[in-house]
Amino acid sequence: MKILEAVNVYKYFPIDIFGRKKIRAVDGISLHVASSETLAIVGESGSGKTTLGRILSGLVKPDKGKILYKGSSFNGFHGKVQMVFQNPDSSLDPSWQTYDIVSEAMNNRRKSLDSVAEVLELVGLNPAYITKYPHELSGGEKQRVAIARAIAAEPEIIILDEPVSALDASIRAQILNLLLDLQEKKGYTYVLIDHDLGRVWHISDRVVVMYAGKVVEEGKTEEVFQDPKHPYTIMLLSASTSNIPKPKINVSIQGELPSLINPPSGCRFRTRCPFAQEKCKVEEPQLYNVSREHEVACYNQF
Amino acid sequence: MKLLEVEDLSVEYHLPQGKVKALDNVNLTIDKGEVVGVVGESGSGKSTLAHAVIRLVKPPGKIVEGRILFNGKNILELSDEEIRKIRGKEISMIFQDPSSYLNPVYPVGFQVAEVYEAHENTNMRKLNGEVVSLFKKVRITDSEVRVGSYPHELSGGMKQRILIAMAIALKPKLLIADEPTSALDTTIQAEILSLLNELKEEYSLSILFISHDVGVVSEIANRMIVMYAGKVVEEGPAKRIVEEPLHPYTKALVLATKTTRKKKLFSIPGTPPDMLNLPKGCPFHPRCPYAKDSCKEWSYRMIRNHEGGVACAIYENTGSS
Amino acid sequence: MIRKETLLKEMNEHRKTIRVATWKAFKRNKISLLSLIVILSVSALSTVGIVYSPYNPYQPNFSGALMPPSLAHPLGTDWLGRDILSRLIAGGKYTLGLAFVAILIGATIGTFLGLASGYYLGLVGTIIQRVSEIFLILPTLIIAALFAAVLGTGLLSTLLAIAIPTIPVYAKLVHSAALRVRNEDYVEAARLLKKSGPYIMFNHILPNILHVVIVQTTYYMGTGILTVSALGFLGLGVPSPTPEWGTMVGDAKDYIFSYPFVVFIPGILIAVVVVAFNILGDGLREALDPKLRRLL
Repeated sequence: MKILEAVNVYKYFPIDIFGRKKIRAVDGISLHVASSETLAIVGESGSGKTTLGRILSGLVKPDKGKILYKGSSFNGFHGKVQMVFQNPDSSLDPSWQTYDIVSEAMNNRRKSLDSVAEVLELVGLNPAYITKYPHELSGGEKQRVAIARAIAAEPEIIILDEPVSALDASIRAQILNLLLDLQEKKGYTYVLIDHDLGRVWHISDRVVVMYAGKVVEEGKTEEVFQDPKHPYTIMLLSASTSNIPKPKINVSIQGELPSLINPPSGCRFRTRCPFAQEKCKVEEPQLYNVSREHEVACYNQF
Repeated sequence: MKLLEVEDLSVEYHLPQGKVKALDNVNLTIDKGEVVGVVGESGSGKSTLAHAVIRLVKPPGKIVEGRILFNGKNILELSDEEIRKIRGKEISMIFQDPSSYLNPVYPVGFQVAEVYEAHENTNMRKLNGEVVSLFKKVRITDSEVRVGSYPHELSGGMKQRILIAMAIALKPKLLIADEPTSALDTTIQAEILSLLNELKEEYSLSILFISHDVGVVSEIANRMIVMYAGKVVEEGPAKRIVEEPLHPYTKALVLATKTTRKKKLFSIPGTPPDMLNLPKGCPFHPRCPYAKDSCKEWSYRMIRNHEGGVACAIYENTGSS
Repeated sequence: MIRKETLLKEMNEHRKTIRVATWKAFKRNKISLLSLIVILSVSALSTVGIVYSPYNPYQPNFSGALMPPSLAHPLGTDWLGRDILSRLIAGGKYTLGLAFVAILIGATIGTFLGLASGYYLGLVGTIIQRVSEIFLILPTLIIAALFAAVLGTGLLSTLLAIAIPTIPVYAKLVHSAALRVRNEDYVEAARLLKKSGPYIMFNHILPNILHVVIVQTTYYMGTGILTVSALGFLGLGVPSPTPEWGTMVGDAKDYIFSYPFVVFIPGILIAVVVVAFNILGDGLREALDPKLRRLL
């Protein structure tokens, strides 16, 4: 069942006062999130994945297009979508104690020491943490409290915006395990925004690969990782140091993400693509199905 | 030939809350042309080590003990003037966050040229060609144009390349890289690593590469040391450490990177130690799955063999493994 | 199971430890501690001055005019024989009190406006900021002269002359501080929890910028005292014979060469209090910033 859906969503950020120059952060994206699955959105920084995550959460209003929650469009917030942010230092109010941070997410009827302690236990913190201020917590503990706040709101969907990127390697595993654990217990739907393919391979069911504000490939994680169809996906897979399936052909990395103010004509990846043809300059490739659930936007066939 | 030898180095921070031993009797050698990786969590002392090597420990930190021999000279005994000549010229450094080391109001090419000027008193105008070729060396596309760019016009990866260009400008013998790729995307990270590998060959550069990520370090390092709570807990060839880690902490670090789909990752229980209040005995014992009662009493000792060593009570009395 | 009472108690106690730590951090700076003591003593004396002073500050005594400091009159007497110490004590409620009330009014209004414009941005925010800028370019003295002309010199026009120019200063200051905080992820998290704008403004933004407001108010108290005195000195403020400190300096200016202490004693007091407020501001800035609370 589709629980969350983005229909042809656009978001441009004006950068001059006349609004003529715009950063095309999200440039016509449609996707859906199925109930209880983990959808990963991958891409480099500047690919628009964070903006897309914020649009899905309702924090950012798209310029065009609709967000559908269980089939009906919504405006503003309904509390069923919560978020875990990348930077643990910024995600907790420095002048609040853990109790206040977590209980803020509860309605007045449920607000109590017991229920806060219960939620903290779910994220692996003992009740003594109730008294602590954020500056007394380590990075991993802060992220646990942030997760506790998200689940205290009893959400259905949790958007994880690079939830472990800012943490030490040894703490990352703890947090990822916790997230897997919570999903198993509570059946949350996750949208994981991450640039690390190892993590995407580890916890996602489906993956959306974004490049310069567009979706270039989408499909089941196994299928996309084992049989990548877009040269950009292949490049990302080749660059990863994690133990994930290595692509059959190796596309070495070249260049950097193009300007999102003046994106290249035609296919946006053509400036870095070793397989670019004349056609790629002229016409933008559209997403098409290579298999039932695997879509790619590229003229080449690998 | 040994380029850098760190012997029994200890650094302490005196804070209002108490004394922190950020480095506790650390030993380390780097040969010419060798890349040594230092792995550890935040607070393990790895960054302090990087700064201590060029005597840039920030107050309230202080080097309290030890010797740092660079090319046979003890860095700790040099005058401020002499150490300044070594910094940047013979030992240079790159950092995690390149933007804070670039001046936002000058073009990056100018800032790179300044490096030459500071150490060699060359005329700035003659340097344009040098800077452009240096930019090419660090694989900056359109280098002729890029020398005139300002830092805010460049991406994070590009800025890191500029910093690398500055660092290698004077053909140093040792490059200290403090988490140079941690803030970057995987794709850019891969490129920076391959760039460093290439430069290492070309300049026969030695690199001290500091990171919290075993995977990244193993991509570039010949040898690796693993730090925990200010102490070296394991040392050896990078390949061996990644394939057969000995110390329980190293094992945990390596296992934590082994992703399998939808399976729980191995994770180290507990949190990094409170440096103000280190546990007695082996500092890792509260988090260690192999801990015995005797670990609380164990006093730190590196058990060495010809290619490295490990500091763990498990390997006591069993000879070198 | 958790023991509720103990946890609740611990929470409150822990909240206190933050206050204690802040106080300890402040105390470490001896000069600002001294400034605080100076300010508190002068304020205490001025408070006492509302009901009591050694001599009647308004009663002339021509036989004892222009007497240098002595045991009977520790700070001497002025050209009408009035005891200067008594006049300073009685005048504190005008100089300090006026500055305090005026800045409190200005700061409160300015902070609300700044919060609203910093959180909501948009049209409301733009209007608040543009109007603030217009007011910012009007010098305080011109506004004071205007009020003096319309309302006559006195307490009310001095009060307004200080309070009104303070509003845009705080509106700008709080606006930019709020802008920084509103982009923090915890504000976004609160929005996802369906919290209202005013709730977020007062519970998440204000507590995290309050230190900026407090520090600015401390600095501004110095400026305010200076403005009250300057207006008094120029005859635009509280008129004589009210012993407002600036008015005292202004009225005594003819004696600056013959009997300098009549001018300098209130003058030095103004300077000391103003400097004390500035030093206190520096000390508070370091002690109050919640971001500097971390241990390592």
